[in-house]
Amino acid sequence: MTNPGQSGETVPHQDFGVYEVFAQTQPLGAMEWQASLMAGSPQMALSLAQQNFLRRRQIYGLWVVPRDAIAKAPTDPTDPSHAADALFRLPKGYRELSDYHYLVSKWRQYQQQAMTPDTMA
Amino acid sequence: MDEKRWRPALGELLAQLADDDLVTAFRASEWLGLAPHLEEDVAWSSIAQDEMGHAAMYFSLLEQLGFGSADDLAHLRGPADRRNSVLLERPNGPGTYLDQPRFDWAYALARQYLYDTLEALRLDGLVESSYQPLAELAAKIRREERYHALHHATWLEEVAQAGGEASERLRHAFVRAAADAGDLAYTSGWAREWEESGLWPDASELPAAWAHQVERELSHWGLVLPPVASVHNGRAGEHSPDLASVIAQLSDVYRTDPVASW
Repeated sequence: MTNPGQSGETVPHQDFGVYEVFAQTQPLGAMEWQASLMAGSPQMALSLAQQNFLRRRQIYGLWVVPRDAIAKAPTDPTDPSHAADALFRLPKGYRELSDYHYLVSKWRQYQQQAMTPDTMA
Repeated sequence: MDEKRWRPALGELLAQLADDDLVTAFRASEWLGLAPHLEEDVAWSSIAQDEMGHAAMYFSLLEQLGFGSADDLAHLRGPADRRNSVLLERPNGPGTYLDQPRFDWAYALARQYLYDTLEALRLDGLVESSYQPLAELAAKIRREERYHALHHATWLEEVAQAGGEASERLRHAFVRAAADAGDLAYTSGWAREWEESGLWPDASELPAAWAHQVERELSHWGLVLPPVASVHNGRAGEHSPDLASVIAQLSDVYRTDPVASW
C-alpha cells in the first residue's frame, strides 16, 4: 500500500480542470488560442502555460480560460443554431466580390463606345 | 579586480554556484514521469534543464579561469571537493528513481522554495560583482530564475492553503528541509574576501536576509520556518552519503571514458 498523494498512485483531482490558453503575440494583436492544459487553479494554469508553451516566445498578453466557462454552439448539423452551417441562408451573391465581375466587361464596353449626347441619355 | 590575488575566493564562489545548481538539476530531473500530473512533469523537467544549463555556465567560467575542464569538474570531483548545500543533495523521498520511487512532492516544494529564495538573493548581489563575466551571467540567470520562483511559489501557496493532508505534509516537509538548510546561506568564512574583492558585495548579509525573507513569506502562507540546522556543512566539502550516490549516477557514463568527446 502506498500512502495517498505519493507518486505512483492515482489520486482523484477534484478541483482539476481544463484551461484554454490564449496569448497575444503582437503588441496590438488579437488573443490567439495556443494550447489546452490541466491545472488546479487559474494561477497555476498561467504558470504552466508560461513554462510549457511560451518559454521561447515574446508575448504581450496571456489569458487562461476555464473550458467550462466557454459556451459552445451545438455541433449537430440538424440543430437550427449549428455554428458551422452558413448554408441555411438564402443566396446572397451581392455580399461576394465574384458577383461583380460583370462590371469589368461593362466598364470596357463603355470605354470603347464614343460618348455622344445620344448614348449618354 | 586583481584576478590573481582573488583567484581562490573566486574559485570557491563559482564552485558553490555551480555545485548548487548541478545537484538541484539532478534531483529535479529524477521527477521525470513521477510529478503529480503531466503538465507539471513537463514544467518541472524544463526547470531541471534550466538549472543544469546554469550549472554548465558556472562550470565554464571555472574552466576559463583554469580550474579544469567543465566536464571534469562536474563529473570527476569527489564529494570532499563539492561545495553544494547538503539540503540540495538529499533524495526526493523513499526509494530511488529506478526502484520504488515513493517520492515526496511536499518535500520537493519546500526544498525548492528555500533554495529559490537563497538563489534570488544571491543573484541580486552577484549582478554587482566586480568580476564582470560573473555579473553578466548572474543578470542573465536571474531573469530565468524569477519564473522558476514564481512557479514554485504558486504551488506552495496552493498546497499551504489546501488544508488537510496537503498542508500537514507541507509542514512536515519544511521541518525536514530546514533540518538540512543550515549550510544553504552559510558562506564558509569566505564572505569577508568576497566583499573585499567586490566579487560578491553583500555576501555577509545573506544569512540574515534569507531567514528574514523566508519567515515573512511563510507566515503569509500560514507556515512557520522550523529550526534551521545542519548535520554536515556542504560549503566546507562535508557531505552526506547521498552526494556520493548522486555523483555515481550522474557520472556513470562519463567515467567509462573521460577522454571521449561526447
